[in-house]
Amino acid sequence: MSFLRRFGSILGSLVGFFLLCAIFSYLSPYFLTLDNFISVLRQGAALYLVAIAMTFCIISGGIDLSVGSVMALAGCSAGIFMSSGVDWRLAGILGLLEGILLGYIMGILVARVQLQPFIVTLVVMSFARGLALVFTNGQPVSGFPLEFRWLGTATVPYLDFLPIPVAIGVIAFALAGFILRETNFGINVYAVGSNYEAAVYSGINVKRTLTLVYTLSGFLSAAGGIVLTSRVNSGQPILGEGIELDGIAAVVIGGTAMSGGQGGIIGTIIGTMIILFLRNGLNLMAVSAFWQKVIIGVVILVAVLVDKYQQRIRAKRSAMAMAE
Amino acid sequence: MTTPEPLLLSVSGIDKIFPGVKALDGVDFDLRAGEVHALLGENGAGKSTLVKILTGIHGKDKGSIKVLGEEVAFANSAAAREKGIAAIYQEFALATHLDVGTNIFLGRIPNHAWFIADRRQVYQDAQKLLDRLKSGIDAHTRVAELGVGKRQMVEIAKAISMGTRILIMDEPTSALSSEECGHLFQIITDLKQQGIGIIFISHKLDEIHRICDRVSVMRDGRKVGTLDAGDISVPEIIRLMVGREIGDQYYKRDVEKGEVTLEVRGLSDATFLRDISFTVRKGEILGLAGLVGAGRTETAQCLFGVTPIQRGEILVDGKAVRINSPGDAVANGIVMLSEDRKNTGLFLQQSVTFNVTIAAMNAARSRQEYYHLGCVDVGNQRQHTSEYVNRLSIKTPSIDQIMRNLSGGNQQKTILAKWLLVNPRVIIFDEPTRGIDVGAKQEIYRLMHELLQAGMAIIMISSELPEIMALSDRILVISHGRATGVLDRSEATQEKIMTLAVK
Repeated sequence: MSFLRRFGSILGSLVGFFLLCAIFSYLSPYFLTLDNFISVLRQGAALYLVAIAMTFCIISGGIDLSVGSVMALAGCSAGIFMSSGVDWRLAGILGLLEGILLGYIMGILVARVQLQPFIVTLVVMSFARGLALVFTNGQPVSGFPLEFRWLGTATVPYLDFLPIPVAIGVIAFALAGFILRETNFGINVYAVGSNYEAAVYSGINVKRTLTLVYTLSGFLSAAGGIVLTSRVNSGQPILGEGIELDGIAAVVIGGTAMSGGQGGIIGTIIGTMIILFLRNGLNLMAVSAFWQKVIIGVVILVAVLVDKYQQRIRAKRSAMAMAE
Repeated sequence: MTTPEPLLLSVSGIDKIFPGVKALDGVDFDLRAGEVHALLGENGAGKSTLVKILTGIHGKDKGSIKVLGEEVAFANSAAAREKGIAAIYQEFALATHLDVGTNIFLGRIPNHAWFIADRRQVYQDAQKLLDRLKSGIDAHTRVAELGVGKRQMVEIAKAISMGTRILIMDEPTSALSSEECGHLFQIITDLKQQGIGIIFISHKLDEIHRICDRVSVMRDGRKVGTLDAGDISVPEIIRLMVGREIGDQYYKRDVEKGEVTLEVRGLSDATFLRDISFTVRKGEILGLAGLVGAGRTETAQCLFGVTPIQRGEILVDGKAVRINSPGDAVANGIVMLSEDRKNTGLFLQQSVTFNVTIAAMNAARSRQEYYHLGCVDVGNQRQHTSEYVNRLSIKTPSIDQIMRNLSGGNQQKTILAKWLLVNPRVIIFDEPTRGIDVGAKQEIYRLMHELLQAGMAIIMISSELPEIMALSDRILVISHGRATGVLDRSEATQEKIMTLAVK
């Protein structure tokens, strides 16, 4: 019972994921191979970090549309630094700092100036994308040192089957899950998203909590941009275009409510996997990119419908419990 | 001869000026340890302002506040909390998605290593507090799954966990059933014994003598008196509050009863309403009594088409009608004034005109009156609004005023105006006087009488037994989703109703 109560909300998406895998395994002999799985997981590197960022923002009652643009800006900046001779580690850190700074600014605008997250992050979405295009003059940046390539393409030492980007994803998911469940900051994120006034009245520093949420989001997006830049071996100003929608879709498919206060990382992991493997399976079956969009739209709809149905059952159950 | 209890709180000469209004004018107030001190007054008398100053939400313009003899000034609510002052408001400040334990210690969750929250400690401490209150709540339960009464227990546990010595309760019983009230009063008695002082704000005056030691009455920003609760009767309190005598609070007059307007046969919904049947006649008030959560509001929601009916029949004037939406209900002459005015009754950011005409503009029967050549007929809209604002004497500076700025009583009358515009046959009042002050209550009762005279039928849900007994011609008692009995006005007593309510 308590297991069901805790994981009931993600049960649907988990079943959905296995169903999806079963269907594609049947339709394509290549789908259920280790090679395919590893390659899909490696492609997902940036999406993991973006989906985590989005989970924090959405649980806190907001959203972050800027993730893709911040990815591009951080990736391109790091690329430009490297191609002008800056050490690759320093270049990476500078890229991350950019993400942190932009995230912090968004946080201040949301938490202190009290602008709506949708608007603030829409502004930064345009702003950061513009800067990435200006800095690169619209052209891809290349000429990175070999060591930098390691980040996106190598495998973990002694664990040859595990690509670095996947390892980063695993660690990030684990850390994020831990922070959300086990730290005061995580609890406060839920509190702010669940009932902002109550959070204020409970003495929670809501402004600091929200600022931190968006700063974290900026940092994660920048990290995603740098990993992806390393993997494709060039700084693309159009990097991560539209990834915010995949991120939101992953979070929503994972059972996190857009209204805030509910959800969690485990759901987001499953949601991310559904998006990645759905796309992979459709690719293997040579479904056109146009039809893929249609199908992904339908899958998101089904996911939220299942969630809605489960919520209704739960509401019914608690109404009955209250009547006792 | 016992030594007098030390003064927990002593407030003197408080002034508070808001732009254009002197909200508080030289208010004195004090609270002893282990005392329940009632703070009474009509809405706008200054109670809330005083509470907000005591809890650090507003600053004071003049005067002094002493806690245990020490002069204090609060910059914010955290500062007040540090001095042991906490308030429990009508709208509970809980994060409903989180569990009870987390809510109790929200913002103060201890860390056991570095920044990792010590959840075990939280649940342990929370459970201890909850058990001490004999609340029967598990600290792991999500607040969303708790009813109003239990949520309040969580609030009280939260206040105690903060080391509160001065607890302010703003209408704590307004949403509770009599049973839950009894439990709350037991808790209040326990808190008193621990030396906690309680400031108790309520519009239900019959409660004052059950639990309060002293009574302070405010009117127009001034305190008009402080008396021992034993020395003052309810009529005297009312006179102090309104500054005049209110005779015949409930305004119950005989109205000639006509044909059966509404008949409900074997009504069941998908969750727990089972086989509810009753009739209401023209000119009659049928009271729905029962504990909170017994199914009274759910019954009303079925009649109004908010929740789907699973089985059963609804007949208006003897003809079976299908009600699948509030639109259907309105078309069949059934309207409802919901208990949750702010969320389901009003558009708070919109004008009086908007709120009064919105239903009529969407009802099939009256829609055409408000459109002229496909455009909204603003003149007609405003004329109808003015007419009803006058008829129901809704106090508002203009019909363009934003709804949020009206008092609770006037908001309630605005909702009534909205429904009168669609010519209803049956009006359902769900907790019509909750959070409304004495003077406005009487006006609502008088309006109900006029509606009966005009040939309408009324179904009234109320958790206040005196109210339901005074106004109803017949009382239907509901318990656990079933109708357990109908009592005639002449035979109804509190005991009989309660016996049926727990059956």
